[in-house]
Amino acid sequence: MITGFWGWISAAVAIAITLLIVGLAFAILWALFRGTINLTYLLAEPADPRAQRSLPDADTPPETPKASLARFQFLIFTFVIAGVYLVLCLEAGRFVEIPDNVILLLGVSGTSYAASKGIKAAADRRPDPAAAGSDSHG
Amino acid sequence: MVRYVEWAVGLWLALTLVMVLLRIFTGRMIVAGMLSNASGRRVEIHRLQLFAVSLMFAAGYVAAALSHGGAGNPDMPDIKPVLLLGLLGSHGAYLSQKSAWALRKRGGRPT
Repeated sequence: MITGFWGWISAAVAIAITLLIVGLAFAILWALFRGTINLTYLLAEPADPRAQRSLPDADTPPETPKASLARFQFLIFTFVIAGVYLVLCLEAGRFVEIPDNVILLLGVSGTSYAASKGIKAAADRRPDPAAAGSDSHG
Repeated sequence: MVRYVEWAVGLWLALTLVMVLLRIFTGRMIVAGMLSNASGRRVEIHRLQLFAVSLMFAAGYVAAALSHGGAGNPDMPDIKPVLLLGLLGSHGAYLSQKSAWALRKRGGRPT
């Protein structure tokens, strides 16, 4: 129940902020739909830049980005946990408790993704450019 | 009002997921080479096991959450520590193989 001047002011501010966030969310969705935000490389690791620069001849095809399993599992777990949390919140009408092990699951997934990126970056930063193969590991 | 916002957020998440899945199935998102080695010719077991474990874990958790919520308990279902340990092992196997690949690549050996 909204009462008093400040009650109406806070309600108006709350509604404005909510509309702003929801509007922003749907603007992002629209950009995804139109292709303004490009999803092509969402699951792909960039190609090894060193391998791109050291192509033996013009006939050698450039290295292409390769899909990354670490990105894929991170995406899956993020959607699953967020989706389940949202469904249960809608059902309960309140913020539901998140068990510690679920947080740990997201931690394992995120850490694995970060470690995978680190390993890939270390592999691409090898000292000898002549030894650069034409492979990319996701 | 709160209810409408909750449903709007739910709709947003569902539409985002549908869009990602559509891009994957129509080939507009790169998924090639996810399970294969660097040259893309051979499926690697450490990738396959992480892929299978991730999908099974995700599907199992969704099923557990739906039955948990359906039983009148709206809180998120917990995950057994032994299952979490299994997932950790799966990720560890994947990362150790990837580290070995990185060491081979840095050393200029065949990957």
